[in-house]
Amino acid sequence: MIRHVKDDLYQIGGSVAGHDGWHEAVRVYVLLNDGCPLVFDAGSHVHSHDIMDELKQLLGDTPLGYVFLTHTELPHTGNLSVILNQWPDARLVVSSGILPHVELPWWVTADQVMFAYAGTEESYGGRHISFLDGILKDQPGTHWMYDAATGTLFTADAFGYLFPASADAAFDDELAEGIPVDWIKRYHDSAFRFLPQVAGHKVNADIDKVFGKRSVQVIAPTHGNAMRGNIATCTARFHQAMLEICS
Amino acid sequence: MSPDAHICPVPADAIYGEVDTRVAVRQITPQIYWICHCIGPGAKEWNGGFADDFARSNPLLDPTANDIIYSSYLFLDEKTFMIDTLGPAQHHTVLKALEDLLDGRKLDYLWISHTELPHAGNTAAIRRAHPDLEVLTVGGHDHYEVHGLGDARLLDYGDVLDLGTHKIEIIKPLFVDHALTQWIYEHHTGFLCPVDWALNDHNEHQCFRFMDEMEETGYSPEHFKQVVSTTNRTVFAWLRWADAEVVGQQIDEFLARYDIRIFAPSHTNVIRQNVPAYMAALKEAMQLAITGDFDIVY
Ligand SMILES: [Fe+2]
Ligand SMILES: [Fe+2]
Ligand SMILES: [Fe+2]
Repeated sequence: MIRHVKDDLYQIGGSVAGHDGWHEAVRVYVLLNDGCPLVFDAGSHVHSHDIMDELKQLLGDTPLGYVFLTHTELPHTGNLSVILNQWPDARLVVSSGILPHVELPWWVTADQVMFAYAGTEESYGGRHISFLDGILKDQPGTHWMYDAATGTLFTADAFGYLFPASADAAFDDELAEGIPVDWIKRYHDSAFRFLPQVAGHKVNADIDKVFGKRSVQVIAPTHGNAMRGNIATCTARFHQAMLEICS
Repeated sequence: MSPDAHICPVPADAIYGEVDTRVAVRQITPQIYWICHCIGPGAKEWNGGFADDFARSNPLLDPTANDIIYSSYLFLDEKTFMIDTLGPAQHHTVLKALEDLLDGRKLDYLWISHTELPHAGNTAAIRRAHPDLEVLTVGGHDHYEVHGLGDARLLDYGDVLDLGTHKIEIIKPLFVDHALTQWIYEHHTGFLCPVDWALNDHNEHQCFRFMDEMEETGYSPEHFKQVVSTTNRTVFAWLRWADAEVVGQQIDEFLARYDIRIFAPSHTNVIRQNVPAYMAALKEAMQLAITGDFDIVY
């Protein structure tokens, strides 16, 4: 489902249902960027059909400029071949921490790939995107990205949450109580199995450093919907979830 | 034929392909084979030259060690069992090595340690070559279809696969990044596959060597300790939030529980001699990793 998040930022992609009724989102974010669209993560192969329909609706005749990967696991790259078949001139932007010959599909060519370095900012079709380390992640070559124009922080797996079917595609400001701590906890508990081995206050201190450095107005997790209503509430609930999961 | 009389079905120094497709086969025991990939000459260019950075942060490290090993393992028992698949770039070479090792037999099991591409990227290709294959992976989760494992058989800690002589036990990992991760321990040989744990780099004179053969090039448990303390800050960045003392205790408990005689991770030269000295070095390495500088860009 196409959801307009803010300004030229859209959320597409699907979700998958678990056996116990809890759904997990696998989102793709699109910045239309006036003639040179940018896509963040490629989505899952199980949602290819819908993702491509939605992308074509959003982009019209404008060719896709860049696909930014938060990291290279299948839920984030499964639909990559379909996207690059449709827009063969699109470039792929990946963290400098990944090794393409082992971490990208074999058919990706060297001239399709651009590396991004944590601590730098680059212009893509005139849009300034900056890069930082993935703070909470499940794969070494994960980076987070920030679009200053919309204030969007792309956090890969972090800030995901599981939700009941009724909340599918709902933003935090469309839920009466926002996103409950319990939903955030359910996702992070299962996605980051190392959390019980670490100190929650240290995780939170690192997250605070990221938010202290930029004026985040949208958090865009792959496995949740964009958080755009009350960022302070969302981060406070994330903090609470960390304190409850960690040692 | 008794299992131990098994003759290695490929030449002892078999190497398939080159550079990014390069795969070698080494025999660990008469029935356990190491199928491994690394770049070899040219690793500095292919792998981004990380060794210079590492040596700058720790002068005890080898500034020419720009290569990393990626490992699969194959058990040729009454049942055949493969651990991980190597990455997409090696799909032809890993299939050829597998075909030569199986020598007409079929592959019964493919166990996926976790779903990242260098470990699981050739699952579909191997399944096509062995249609009766049973793919095994980590139980206790949900949403397997997005990881391409919708029809895998799910295993839980404590499950044991009886291959004949070898009994493969699924064990709880001590250090994970991806949530869908398990480790395995094989009781007959003391073979432990701790997946991403450890991780040492190597230079172009050390490709495809067992750790005891690395020692012929001057390597030692001390080198291993220094390297792992550096690499594991990257592999498990969450260690910066952990407690060195607690992790040390967890490692002690783990080592007391499992009698490790073959230490066979995914990205480490296989350790088959002098294991206790390397395990002591590994424990110290993890504690050094925790207390060192992670150099995070916020
Ligand atoms: Fe991930
Ligand atoms: Fe993910
Ligand atoms: Fe790995």
